Order: sequence, then C-alpha cells, then structure tokens
Amino acid sequence: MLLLLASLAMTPQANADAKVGGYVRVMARPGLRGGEGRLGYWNLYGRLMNEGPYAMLDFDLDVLEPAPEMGTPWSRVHARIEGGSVGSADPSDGSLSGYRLSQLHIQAGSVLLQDVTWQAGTLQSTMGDLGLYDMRLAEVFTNTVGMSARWERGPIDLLVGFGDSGFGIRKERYNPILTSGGSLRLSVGKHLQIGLGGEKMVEPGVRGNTHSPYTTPDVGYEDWIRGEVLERFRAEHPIAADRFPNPELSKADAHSAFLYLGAGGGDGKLLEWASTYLRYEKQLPDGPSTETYQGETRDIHVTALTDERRALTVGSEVLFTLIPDRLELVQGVLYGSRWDDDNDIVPSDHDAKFWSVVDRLQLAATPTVGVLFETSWAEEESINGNRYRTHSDSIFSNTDGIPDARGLETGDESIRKTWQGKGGVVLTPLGPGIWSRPTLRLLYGAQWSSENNAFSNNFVESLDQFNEYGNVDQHWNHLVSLEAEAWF
Amino acid sequence: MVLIRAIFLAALAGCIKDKPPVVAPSSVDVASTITLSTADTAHGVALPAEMSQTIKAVLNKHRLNHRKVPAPAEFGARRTTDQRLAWLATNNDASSILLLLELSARRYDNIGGRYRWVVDVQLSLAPQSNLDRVQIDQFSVPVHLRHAHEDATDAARASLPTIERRLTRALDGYLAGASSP
Repeated sequence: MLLLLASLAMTPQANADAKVGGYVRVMARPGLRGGEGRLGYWNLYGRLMNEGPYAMLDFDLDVLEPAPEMGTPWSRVHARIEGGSVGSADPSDGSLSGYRLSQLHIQAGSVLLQDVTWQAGTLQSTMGDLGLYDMRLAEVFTNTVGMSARWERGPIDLLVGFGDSGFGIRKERYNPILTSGGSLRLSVGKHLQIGLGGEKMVEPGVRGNTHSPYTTPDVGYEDWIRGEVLERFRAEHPIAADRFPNPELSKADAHSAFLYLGAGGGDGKLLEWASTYLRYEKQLPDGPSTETYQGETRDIHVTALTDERRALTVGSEVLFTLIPDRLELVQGVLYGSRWDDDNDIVPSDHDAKFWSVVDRLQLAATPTVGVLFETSWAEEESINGNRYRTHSDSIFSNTDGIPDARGLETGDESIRKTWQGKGGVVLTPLGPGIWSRPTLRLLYGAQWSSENNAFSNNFVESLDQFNEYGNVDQHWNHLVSLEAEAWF
Repeated sequence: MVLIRAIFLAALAGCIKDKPPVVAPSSVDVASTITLSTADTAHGVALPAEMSQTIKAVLNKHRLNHRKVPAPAEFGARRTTDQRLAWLATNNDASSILLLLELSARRYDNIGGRYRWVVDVQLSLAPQSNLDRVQIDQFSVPVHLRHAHEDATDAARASLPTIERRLTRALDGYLAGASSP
C-alpha cells in the first residue's frame, strides 16, 4: 500500500496535484538503568523523552483541484499510513507490520451546498491538542467511518457526521456501533475561540450474533476479576448436566462531549495563546473474556459489569513569548478523573485520579541553536486502594496494606508521585521557536518517582529465593537522548 | 576539553556564515507585488504584516531599492502571471525590475496535532523593459500550524523563511546573469 501510494504521488500526471506530508520522530536513548529507552511510563510527565519512535505519511491527491473563482466542484483523496516502529530504534526493528492505513477518505466541495465540504471514509476530526502531553481532548469520530459535512464560513466551523465505529473499536469482534456527532467552533476575532462537540455511540444487540453485547447472568464482579466465574459455578453446580447460564442479549452505548476555549494575543505577544479543554466521556463496555476450568471453556460476557466507566479530563496549555524569537515558555496542566461504578474493589485505570504540571522553556542562542529545559510534577491516585510498590521487597497482594494472598490490592501505596527534569541542546534549522520543527536534540533527563523502577524495564520483581537476577531498588532514572522530530 | 568548549561556543555563536549575496552594480528600484489566495475563497486574503519587511530586507542586501506596489483590483480579472507582469510593466515607470510573488495557501489535514498547510509560491523576476526575460521559480512550502483557527495569513507568515531563502537565491541568479556578458 505504501509503495502504491508513493507511486501514485510520483505519477507524472498526478505530480502537480499530489501532496505528501508527514511526521517522524526517532531517537537513541540507551537505558543504562535497566530501562527500555523511556524516562517514565507515559505522557502525563510531558511527552518529551516519554514517547518512542513514530512515523506517519500523509497523501493528498487533488482529483479535481479547487477553483474558488469559478465555484466548480472539487475533490480530494486523502490517505494516511502510520506506526510506531523504526529500524534499530525499537523491538519491532521497523517492521511494516506495525504500520496501518489509519485514514482513507474522499472529500468533495462545491457540491449541493456552498461552503460545505463533504467527506466519506474515515472521519477523525480534532480541534487542536495539548502539545506538551500529545493529547487531543477535542476530538470526534476517532474510530468512525462514514460521512460528514463541514460548513466553514467566516467565524463558523460546523461539522456533523454519522457512521460506524464497529471495526475501529471491536476489531475482529466486529459489531456495528452507530455513531453520530459533530463539533462547532466559533471565532471571535483573531483572539478568542470557542468550541464544543461530542458524539453518541449505540451498539445494538442482534440475537444470535456472537459479537453482540451480552451479559452472562449471576456473575459477581470479584469472581470475574479473579477469573473464577466458572470455578464458582461448578462448585455450586457440580453436576455436569447443569448448563452454564446462557448469555442474555444486551445493548451498549457511549457518549462524549468536549468544550474548548482558546485565547491569546497572537504571534510574538507575551501571552501568545492559551488553549483549555474539558472532555467528559462514558466508555463502551468490554467484550467477553474466556475462562477454562477442569477442561470446560466458557465465554463470560460482561456488558453489565463494565458499562459504568466514565472519564473527565481537563487540560490547559499556555504559550508565553518572553523575548520574541529568543525565549519562550510553555506551561501545561492536566487533571483527570476516572470512575467505574461497577468496581469498588480492584485498583484499575478506570478508578483513578491524576494531575500534572509541565513547564518547557526554550532559549535560542542563535536562530538555529538553542537550549531547552523542561520539568514536570505529577501525582496519580488509585481510588480503589494500594497499587504502587515503593520498594523491591514491597508486598504484592494485600488488603489494606496487610499481606493477603487473596487480596486485590497490588502495592503498598495508593499514590504515585513523579518528578522529571530534562535539558539540553536543540538544533532548529528552520529558525527559533519552541514548536519549530524539524528539531534535533541532545538531551539529558532525570526522573524521580515514589514507585520503585517506575519506567518500562526488564527487571525481575519476584522475591523468590531462586530469582537469579536479584532485585533492584531505585527511584531514579537517568537517560541521555539523541533524537529528532519533524513535520514535513 | 578545550576543543569541546571551543566547538560548543562556536556552535552557539553560529559561526557558519552565510554566503554573501550578489549585489547589483548600482542601486536599482524593484517594484514588488505580492498576492495571497486560498482555495477556500475567491476573495483575496490579507498578507502577513511581516512579508513586506522581509522582502525589503532581502532586496536591500542585494543593493536593491524596494518599492511596494499593492496588488490592484485588476488582478481579480488578470489571473495569469503574464497578464499581471504586463500590468505591472505598464503601470510602473520608475522601476527597472519587477518582482511578482503569487502565494496560494491551502489547508490539508491535522498531522500529529499540527495543521498542515501547503503554500504554493510562484516567484517571478523580470526586467521591466523586457518581459520575455522573466525568471520564474515555482515551489511549495509545507507549514504546520499549531491551532485550528490559524488561517492562510498565518500559513503565509510561517512560509516566510523559505520564501526569503528562495528569493535570495533567485536574486543571486538574476543579478549574476544580468552582470555577465
């Protein structure tokens, strides 16, 4: 597919109308502290040095080029290939199996309605992002294929769409997930932007379709978490002739909504731009899990056990131009709350709170050479008890901090605190600027965490006396990074 | 250690010097006109304020005097470069070089959090007395803007460093050719 699209872009007759763009980041970060080349676990501490390699190729082919003075129809084909593997930079060694055709759509304009762009295919649409965190809270149709209409006129940008997110979310367990939604962005001059949007998903149940949402009756949440549903059933119904209960047809739904507020003085002003996002979502329930007990295998359908998961995320990012073309500061703050009304007993990503603040300062020594500093502080709290192990010999399974082989808590603290600091030299061939790309960076980064070995690693955590590798106690991680990032 | 420090300081000081531009043998006026259009509207789009200053700075480095000629309303009807150069040639009597920069900005997609625009540029340099000797440079500048609300004017502003470089190169070639036998 990559070769096909590349050859399409190179075809002489298409050459004038084909545009190829993309994004790449690649790095070498020797993990001399036992890690795998990332300073911490995730972007909550700032994306810098917490992300791996990535490459994205975008292809746009104007089948009919826009001619605004004539008002004639126009059409464009858009395709995107992306993935997170680069040769010699990650375990997949650049394998193309890690890449996918993530977007393919066709747009048409000046058809039926003036100022309206019709789009069929993938519909993903976003209203900006939090660059320090690499998070897009104002996004709709992330997994949707269908059709949308965007009306842009003056200060108004209105998008409505409808489609199916079944393949995007359920993959090989496809079941239609009807999705409708939209977004509206209003510009108040050049200095104020207001946006809102959302989407609604409905996953219908179709009797007989094994991929439809079902609920296995009489399943306790704790039994399911422990993988003991079948075992308990057989304990209570030892006669083999007793049938494991048939799943009951159900249906599922999800929705999300976001608000966006952007304001600023514009290029070169002290407060250049501030973007604030608020996103609320109710997530779709999980598909079935499989249990095997004494040779008997059953699917446990858990729609009713996983349909109360909600998330609230608020984030803001402010760009200050302290000295034009010389010194810039970006500050980001993020708060998130996740709650699952079905689960009050097990620490999980669906029952957590977190917040962080990230500051990045970049000073241009010359137009093409600068220095960068970034620091962050973050706290993550598990709502359902202890989750984080603070030492190599910390307890594993416990209940309220007391060792318990049947306990569902997994560490000795419910809060993880993390500090990161990064700094180094950056080359910006296209000129100064904290967001100037391409950029080549030589960075040193340090992380302190209240959790032991709080980065992806290959340590053996077992306290077994036959653990031949031993245990390591460390709260610090240090990395040197040689990296590059570019949009093109 | 001393060597490393020297390399570091040299890098910080930006010790790589630009090649000096080819300068005109004598001070010459250049009438420059810039147009910016976008695929989203048939109407013209406001030029970034910095554009004129950038053009002026490049011309001055070549010992050329900048004379700004705002794009006239006639350009709405005169859409080809030939027609526009002809209009400039007949409506400017004090210049000896015409510079026409035609920019067309178009937004494509959001790539990794950035809004990708492509600014197609046609840069034309011609002696006012002989439009057959026009020198044309066509190029595209991909720019990636941070925010959804940024428009064609912002895209044109972001493309300025590349336009500045290409204009410098075009003027070097134009002046070198003009001075050669």
